[in-house]
Amino acid sequence: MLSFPDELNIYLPMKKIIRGGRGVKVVIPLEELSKKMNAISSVVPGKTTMPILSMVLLKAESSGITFSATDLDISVTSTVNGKVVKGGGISAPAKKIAEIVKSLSQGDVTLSSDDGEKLTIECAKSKFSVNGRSADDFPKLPKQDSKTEFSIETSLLSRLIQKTIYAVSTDLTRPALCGVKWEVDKTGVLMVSTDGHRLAKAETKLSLGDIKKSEVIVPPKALATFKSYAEKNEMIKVSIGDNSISFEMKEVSIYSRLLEGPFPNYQKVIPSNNTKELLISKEALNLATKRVAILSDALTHQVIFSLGKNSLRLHVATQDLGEATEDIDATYSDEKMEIGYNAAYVQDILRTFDTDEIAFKLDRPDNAGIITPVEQDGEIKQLCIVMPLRILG
Amino acid sequence: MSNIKRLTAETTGKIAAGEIIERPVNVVKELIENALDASATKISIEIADGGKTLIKISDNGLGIISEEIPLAAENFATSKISTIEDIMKIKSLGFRGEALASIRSVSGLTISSRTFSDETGRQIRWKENQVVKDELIARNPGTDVTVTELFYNLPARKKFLSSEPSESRRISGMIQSFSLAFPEVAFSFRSNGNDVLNYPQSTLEERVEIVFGSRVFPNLKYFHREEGRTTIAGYASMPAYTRGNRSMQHIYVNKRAIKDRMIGHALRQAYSSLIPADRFPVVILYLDIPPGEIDVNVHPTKSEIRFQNERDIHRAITGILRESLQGKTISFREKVESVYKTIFPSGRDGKENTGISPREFQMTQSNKDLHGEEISGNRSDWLIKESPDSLFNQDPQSIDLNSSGGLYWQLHQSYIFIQIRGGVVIIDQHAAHERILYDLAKKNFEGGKPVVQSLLFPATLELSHEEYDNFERLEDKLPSIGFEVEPFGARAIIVRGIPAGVKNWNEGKLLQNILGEKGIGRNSADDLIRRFSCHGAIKAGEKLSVQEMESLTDQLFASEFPFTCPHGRPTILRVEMDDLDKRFHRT
Repeated sequence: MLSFPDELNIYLPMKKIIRGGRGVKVVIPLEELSKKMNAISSVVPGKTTMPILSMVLLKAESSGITFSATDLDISVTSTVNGKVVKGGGISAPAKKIAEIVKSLSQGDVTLSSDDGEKLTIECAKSKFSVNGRSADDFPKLPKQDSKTEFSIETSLLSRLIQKTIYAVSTDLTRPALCGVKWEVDKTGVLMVSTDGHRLAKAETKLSLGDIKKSEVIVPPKALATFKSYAEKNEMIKVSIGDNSISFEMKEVSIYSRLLEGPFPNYQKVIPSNNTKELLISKEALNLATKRVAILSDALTHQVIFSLGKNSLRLHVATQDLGEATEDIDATYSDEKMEIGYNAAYVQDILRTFDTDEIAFKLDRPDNAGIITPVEQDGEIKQLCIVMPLRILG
Repeated sequence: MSNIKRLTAETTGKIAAGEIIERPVNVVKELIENALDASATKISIEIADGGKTLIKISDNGLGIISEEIPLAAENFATSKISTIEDIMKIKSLGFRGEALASIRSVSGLTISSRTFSDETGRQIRWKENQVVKDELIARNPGTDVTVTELFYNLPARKKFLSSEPSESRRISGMIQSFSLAFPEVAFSFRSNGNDVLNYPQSTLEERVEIVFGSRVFPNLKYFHREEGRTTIAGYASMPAYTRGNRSMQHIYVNKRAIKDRMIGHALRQAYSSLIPADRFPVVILYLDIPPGEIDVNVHPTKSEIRFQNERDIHRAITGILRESLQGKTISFREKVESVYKTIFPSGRDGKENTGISPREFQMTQSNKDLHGEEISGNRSDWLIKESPDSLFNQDPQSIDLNSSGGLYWQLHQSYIFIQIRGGVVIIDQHAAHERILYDLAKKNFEGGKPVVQSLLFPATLELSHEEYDNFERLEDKLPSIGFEVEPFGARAIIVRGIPAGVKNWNEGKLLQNILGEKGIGRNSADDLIRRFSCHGAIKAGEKLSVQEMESLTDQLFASEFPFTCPHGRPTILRVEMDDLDKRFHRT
């Protein structure tokens, strides 16, 4: 018998599981089943030492049919449109079920089980019987301790995520940097991430009513999972607790563990006296960077930005490899200056802007540079910081 | 779920009772068998005074269910069979259900065990056949059996034991014997607090080599044959290599070590006329026979066996050995791997490396790294010394790495496999990155211009006295490899920039580790550069994307010395298709 750690109860909220009553029977149109099975399978861990985690939980209640999957960090519950013939539940191997469903051609699919441990799949003249486990064996999905709750549009949330998720660190020795920090209060939502070489911040002003202020660090996997489900725009409910966050969409609920802090004091490192301003086309800079970076050093990816009167010259010189140069029109009127950047970082940042006109706000070649859209859009205020790559000596 | 059942009177009557425990080695044997039957992958044996005062065997096996520990030490209680019919299909090593009971009756016995599903373990101690302690304990899954004061109640037998070294040697021999049958199990043996044997989990080939040593092993030939449902395999020494006694002959039937006259005769016949009559070959023989065709219940120690088809087996053993000795089968040591040459410039000093093209290197067969430390020897089979077509004979560029599709594959997040024309190249990711960082740092140190990644959050490091001493000595050298660092109050430093491209910055741990090396940089700057490249390189166990693997490979081959890391260990091995073909008997 597997036993699950108690802490699981903290982050897997769900309605009470109906015990007893073995057996279940539901009828689901193939297209709907195929779509939902596909989506839920992405949460199922590929390799796990706990076999139950490779299963999907099918539940049928008077309120409807749901599929659930979890890797113990994230769990997803998806409602499925279909007919409940007999209420109950069963856990079944997710990858195999998805494969079977994918192979069916058309019609309604009947999923049923007499004993709650073997799942029968019937469609047209095909019949499969797959060994599963009791629904009771599936990790329990207990209640969440919600502290802060607010409603937000999926499109807005997705944009905030897209503008910050790329700067998340992969250095596991500092887990707090491996997530996106959220600051939520009654005036809106702010997200910030950094890996120590660059920083991304995006905030939106919203009137969220009288909610409690909350500062948490959300793992990127939870955000990516949310984005993958957020196809159509809708208002969703976000609940933040001490250890968990949940996203409740119309058809899908996602629950995730939070990362532990503390997150570094990022406000301190945002420069306030960067007075030199370079205005440039994002598209032109992106393409030029991509081109010259072909000859950049494989280890450092260094590209030199030479700022002159109304022009920016990108320059790369790598020993044993060669040189590349490209001039781009820009608006700049301060003193001449050379700054080195990691080309990959610059490209990451440029990708997140929605408008073409962007501004570099600089100070000295060895200080942090700020990159923002020239005009912030009405919805989201965005700011990036990138640290230079310098040549010593 | 109950595993251990009391045998019926009828069954016990049919199993001949016998004396099992004559000396400490018998205890060790019985307990190792139990551990192996419990699917252990790691078995540690510890003794004191040749086993007379202490024998302790710990395993990481399935453990005994808490409620069943008391029953485990009862006579004829076993989880391995339940009726006499089961003996006919026995696969486990033990089955008689008398070992623990016998041991308990002549010693102080403690069993401590926990199964994977139980949350706590249970420990029971018996003395004079009575339970004297019974408690729940915290422990990892597995079983420890401790036997103290062996034969305390049999003074006569105690007197009969040999000297401590002699008893200890017997035990060591017994463990070696098991280890040859179970290479997939790690064995360690300590006597009076000293490590005697330490065998990691390995393949059969590796295990045979570690047990017999690098002097004997090269003289062994692998053989393998299947005859119906019987498999005969093992190693036999070439006729040129013989011993003065039979101590290097190991015979296993279904993984159980046995002594058998018939097999002894078969061996003699196979080598007859090939070796002098008073010499003995080294033979490790594995017979895999359907359990129904042998009888193991001949003797309590199970070291004797009866074969149903004695003659057939005799003929098969003689046949395969003869064939093998005449060289009709393919040698096991046919190389699969071809490349290993430790490459040093003639000067042997890293400093003189620069400027010498790879062609001018002198190839040496030294297994020593730059510190003069012997590179661990038990893997030397990988490091074929007389490689006919060493990778070294080619320019690095001539290895066709793109070969349409350029298959990069990371094995166990440690090694990069790349398909090349005619085979596969294996790169040790840590050693490779070490070489790249070393070259870069060296170049910068000798007048190049290091590229520094400035840090958004400068790191403040509190140093120990020794680390700070090292820092002061190296303060003017660190910038030249790319660290932008300055003192920051008493015994602290602040780091504002790090060498671009370095992994494992780990919020300053990288620099702290370098500064923590004793006397670093005292003699030469090369020391600092080497430590930097070692600590800064990607570690084994780090997942790499295809792009990263590609980039790492490109950078490695851009190096002047791509074949070794700065310590002199190899970075690249090559496996030829020809070698694989031979392995699969396709040629």
